[in-house]
Amino acid sequence: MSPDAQTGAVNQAPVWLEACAVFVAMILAAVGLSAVFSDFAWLPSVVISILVIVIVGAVFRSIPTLRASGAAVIAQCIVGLVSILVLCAPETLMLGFIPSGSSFTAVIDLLSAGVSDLYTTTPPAPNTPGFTTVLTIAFTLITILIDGLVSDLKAPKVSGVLLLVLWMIPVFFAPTEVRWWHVTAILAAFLLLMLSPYFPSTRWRGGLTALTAGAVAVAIGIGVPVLLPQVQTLPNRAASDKGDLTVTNPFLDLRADLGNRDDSVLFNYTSTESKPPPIRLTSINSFDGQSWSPTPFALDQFAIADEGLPWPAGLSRDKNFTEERIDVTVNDYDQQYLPTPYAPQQPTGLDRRWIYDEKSLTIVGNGEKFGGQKYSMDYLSSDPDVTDMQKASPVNTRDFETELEVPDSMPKSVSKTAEDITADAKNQWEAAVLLQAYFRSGDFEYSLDAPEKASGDAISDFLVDKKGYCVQFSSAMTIMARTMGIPARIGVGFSSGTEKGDGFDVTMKDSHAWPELYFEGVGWVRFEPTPGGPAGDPPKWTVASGASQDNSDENSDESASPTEEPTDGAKEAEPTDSESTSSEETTAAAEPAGQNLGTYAWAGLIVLVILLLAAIPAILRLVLRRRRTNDPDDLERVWTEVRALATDYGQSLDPSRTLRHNELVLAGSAAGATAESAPAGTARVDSAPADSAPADTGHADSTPADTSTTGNAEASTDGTATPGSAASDPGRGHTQRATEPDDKFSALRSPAPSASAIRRDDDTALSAFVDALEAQRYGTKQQGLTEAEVDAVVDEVTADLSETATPGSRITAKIWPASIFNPPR
Amino acid sequence: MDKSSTAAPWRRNTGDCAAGILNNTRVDAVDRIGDNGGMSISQEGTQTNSVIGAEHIEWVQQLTSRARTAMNAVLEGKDEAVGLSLIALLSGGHVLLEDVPGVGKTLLARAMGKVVDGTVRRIQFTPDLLPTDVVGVNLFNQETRHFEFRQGPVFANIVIADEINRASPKTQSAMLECMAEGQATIDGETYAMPTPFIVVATQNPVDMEGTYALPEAQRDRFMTRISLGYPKTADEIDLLDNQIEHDPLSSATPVTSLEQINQARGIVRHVSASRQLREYIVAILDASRNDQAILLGCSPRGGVHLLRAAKARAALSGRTYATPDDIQALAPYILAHRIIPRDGDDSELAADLIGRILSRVPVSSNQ
Repeated sequence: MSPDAQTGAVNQAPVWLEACAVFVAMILAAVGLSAVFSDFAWLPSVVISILVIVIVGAVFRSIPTLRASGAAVIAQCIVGLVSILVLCAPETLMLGFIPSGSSFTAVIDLLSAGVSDLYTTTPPAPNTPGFTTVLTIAFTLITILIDGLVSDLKAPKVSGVLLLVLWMIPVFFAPTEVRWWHVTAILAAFLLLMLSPYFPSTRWRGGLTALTAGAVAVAIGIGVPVLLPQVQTLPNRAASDKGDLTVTNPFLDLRADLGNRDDSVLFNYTSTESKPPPIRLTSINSFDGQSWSPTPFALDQFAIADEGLPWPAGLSRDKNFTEERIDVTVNDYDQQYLPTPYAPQQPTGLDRRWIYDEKSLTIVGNGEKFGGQKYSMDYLSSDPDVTDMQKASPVNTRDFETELEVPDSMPKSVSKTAEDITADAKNQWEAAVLLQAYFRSGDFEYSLDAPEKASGDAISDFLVDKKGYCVQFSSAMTIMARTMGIPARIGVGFSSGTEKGDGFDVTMKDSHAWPELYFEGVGWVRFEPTPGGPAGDPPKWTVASGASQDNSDENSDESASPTEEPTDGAKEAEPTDSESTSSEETTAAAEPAGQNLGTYAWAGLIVLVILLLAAIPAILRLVLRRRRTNDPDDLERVWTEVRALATDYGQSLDPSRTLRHNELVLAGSAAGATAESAPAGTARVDSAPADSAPADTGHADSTPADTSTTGNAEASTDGTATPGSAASDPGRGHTQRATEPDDKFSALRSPAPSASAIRRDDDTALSAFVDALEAQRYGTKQQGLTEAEVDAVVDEVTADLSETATPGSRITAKIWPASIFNPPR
Repeated sequence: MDKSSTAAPWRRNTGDCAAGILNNTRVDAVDRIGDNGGMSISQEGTQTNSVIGAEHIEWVQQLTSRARTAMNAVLEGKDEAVGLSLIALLSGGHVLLEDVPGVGKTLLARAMGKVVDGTVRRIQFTPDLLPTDVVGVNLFNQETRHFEFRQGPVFANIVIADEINRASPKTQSAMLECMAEGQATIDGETYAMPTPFIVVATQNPVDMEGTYALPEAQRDRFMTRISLGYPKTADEIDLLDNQIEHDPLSSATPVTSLEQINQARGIVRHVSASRQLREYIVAILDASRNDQAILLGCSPRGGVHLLRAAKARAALSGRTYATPDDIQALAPYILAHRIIPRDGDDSELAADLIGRILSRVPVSSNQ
């Protein structure tokens, strides 16, 4: 890694290897980026610019005279600039390569075109000259940087950050388009850069290990998500139908939102109305027979909500509404739709990034979310006059193609049911009221157990099962209204929430959807077919006189005083509401229990699989142990097993220590303690660092051996003050050593151990084994062990180690043995 | 064997004329005491056989144990130094005692001479000491009209070279030739040293003024560098008590004979050293040569000395084979004075560096 120390000739190979690595890595990064685009027209220019940069860099770094100039990066910049001009604006160049002023302006124009292309297309986007320019410039710059990092600074790891920058593009712009190969490509690019310094010196075994490890990591990273059960967290994207903004479809989240047990307040508001209408996020009008989604609207960058919203469609200017205002404080709720009652007119406190859709009057943050916002909104609360609605003429179907669309796949039973219900209706409004009454008649039960789908089949099933929640109710009513020729869409948002103090608190449980039907002269009018859940009472105009007169007495009672809402109807509605709420609660309570059984079974299975997976190392380990210990004559393999055991228990044996030393370590005399106690016992303690343990006792300044000095001290207390009594009294030395295991270490390290100190008295299986192994390694005669002895060795070592090991390492040693992954050194 | 036995006739002569001929050299002649006491080793005379048995080792163990006990009786609390010098004696190496004066360097050498029943001479090195003062000189005998070689004080079993760094390099090198070759050449005539021949040189590391520091090349010839150090308090109190009352050496009696020592040397030579062990030694030497903190690594001679000493230690431990334990225990004592640390020539630092190398080099390729 010190290029200066090497000669130019030696240095050349690594430079070219690194250049190759950078080139391949950048190509891989380009492959990763391709997720954003639907074609590869941009790729040639990018590849050419990368190639040019890498070659220039390698040439400048491998030719000694050029390298001495240190101008590689400068040269790369110049060549990179020229190649960008040639690739992106070839027609402006003089003689095909001399740039003029106009070529720079051309490139800048292309760049800005690319940036605006970014706004007008959604991924996967077709290529444009602007994109090609942007990508060529980006890749040129990043290649220069990465090349410099890898070749000059020898810091390939840092280049990972730059790769990450490139990777951010698909992750942010086209997360749904990212496939596993994109991830693999970018990971491989990073791996390649990381490994690039090691290529020149790789012995292939090591390289293969690294490659295998990398490949396994990638395989696991990709494979495990595939194996796992699919989790439906990501809603479909409205953007799949081309919209400027990536906005979620809140309709599809309703089930999850309603089941949400989180009681935290998303936002609260105060309103000038005493019974405020539901707070709408958006309305959903497009139904393809399978799912509902908002009509992709061409968001106008200049439809700024702050400048006021247009007059709602169909509403007359002088009646059927009241002007109201709410003040909203958002807590912990973050998404792109702005909650507001219909029809919003003039917000205050929003910045100019909030834009609206003219048709649905949905307000969306352009790269802005509304978490933490505080704003107020002037809106027109609809207060339609029943007679106006009765008089409303059928709309021109061409204006409401989407709102009247009933997919062909829709079962006929749906429209048949609608016709049956509304047989008596004299006009569209009555038909709508009858539809709502049908749903609220008591035959239908509010239940979150219903399937989450809102497809055509689901709607016809719903009409049979008569069980569901707002998704089913609203979609069924919307479709049925459409079959009647009434333009209908689904409003999605929140019911008005819980009254608290002056205002209202809205939680996730208040999530709601309702049908909105269009009547000429009145505009979009809310209906409320859902008989429970967060839905409140039906709006007063939907239960008003008219249709009710022709219907049951019940309804006439209800409609007797349409303007005085909280009378009988309310009384009646309240208990049903509470009933259905309670039934909802019971189902909600029963649901986890039912789910739990399944969940527990799953969890148990997963735990079992994980345990099995975790036990694979232990099984492998057992096999290895069997293999290592089945031949009692092969002592080296048995020793490998002993070392592996030590590694398992987190006490890897130091390869620089001798067999005897390691025997003592294994037998439980902690090596660290000895390393400290050894110098402490000597007469002349010096400043030897503890980490070089063999040096501790081994100083040339000849510290007296521990055994003799302590022996002497003992001797003098005994009264036998004969000098040298320690050495002359083997018995004393013997007993003393037996009691102090540390003395074994010092005897081991003593340059000239006295005969008594080295006498071995331990008859453990391990020491017998070490005797045999030592004799085999260093002696002349061979000495085998019996099978039982070998087993005894393994058992003894395991027992000794688990005595000293921490509980954690004891468990991992059994389940997840370290020696499988870090072979004993 | 014959060398040491023929040493007897000229020994007294040298002692007599020491003061006359060698002005500034004080040569002590210590009488060989008693006969070669100790067990009969007729059955041990198989050291020429390359395979030695446990009984040979046991005999060596007993021999050194006796010698050690006897020497420990003279030197208080210096068991390790005694052991190391016995290892040097058994493996045919020389000892460099580097320590302040008065800690018992001479006593150690003389005690060794006494217990092995060999001759001990002491040469005090001074700047004006000449090579001939050490190895001897050819004198013209008027009567026989022939030149007669008069052996210098170096012709002894145990030679104490006191303050060897005070002598001129010329004299030092004469001394070192004797050490390395086991022979002296005077006027073209080569005279072999008696066996066993062990030089115990002392060097005062503190008072270096006006000295010729032993060059590395010459330090390399010593098998081991030992520093005795001050005795422990308890030992020193005993020492004051014992040494005032009587000469400590007087209590020492020969517990072995030169013949036995030579036999023991033969046995030690045949302690086996496996290829793995030799690989380990070479790995240590190699590491010392490639260490960033070491300016000059160990010489191959260092490895030879290390293996020889390891064999002696193995015998002391009752093994017929040397193990890495022997290497690790001895390496700091055998190798430290052969390396030059980059950060100054400091004996403690050198020993520390050797320790670091030991903690880095794997003991076995299998491990």
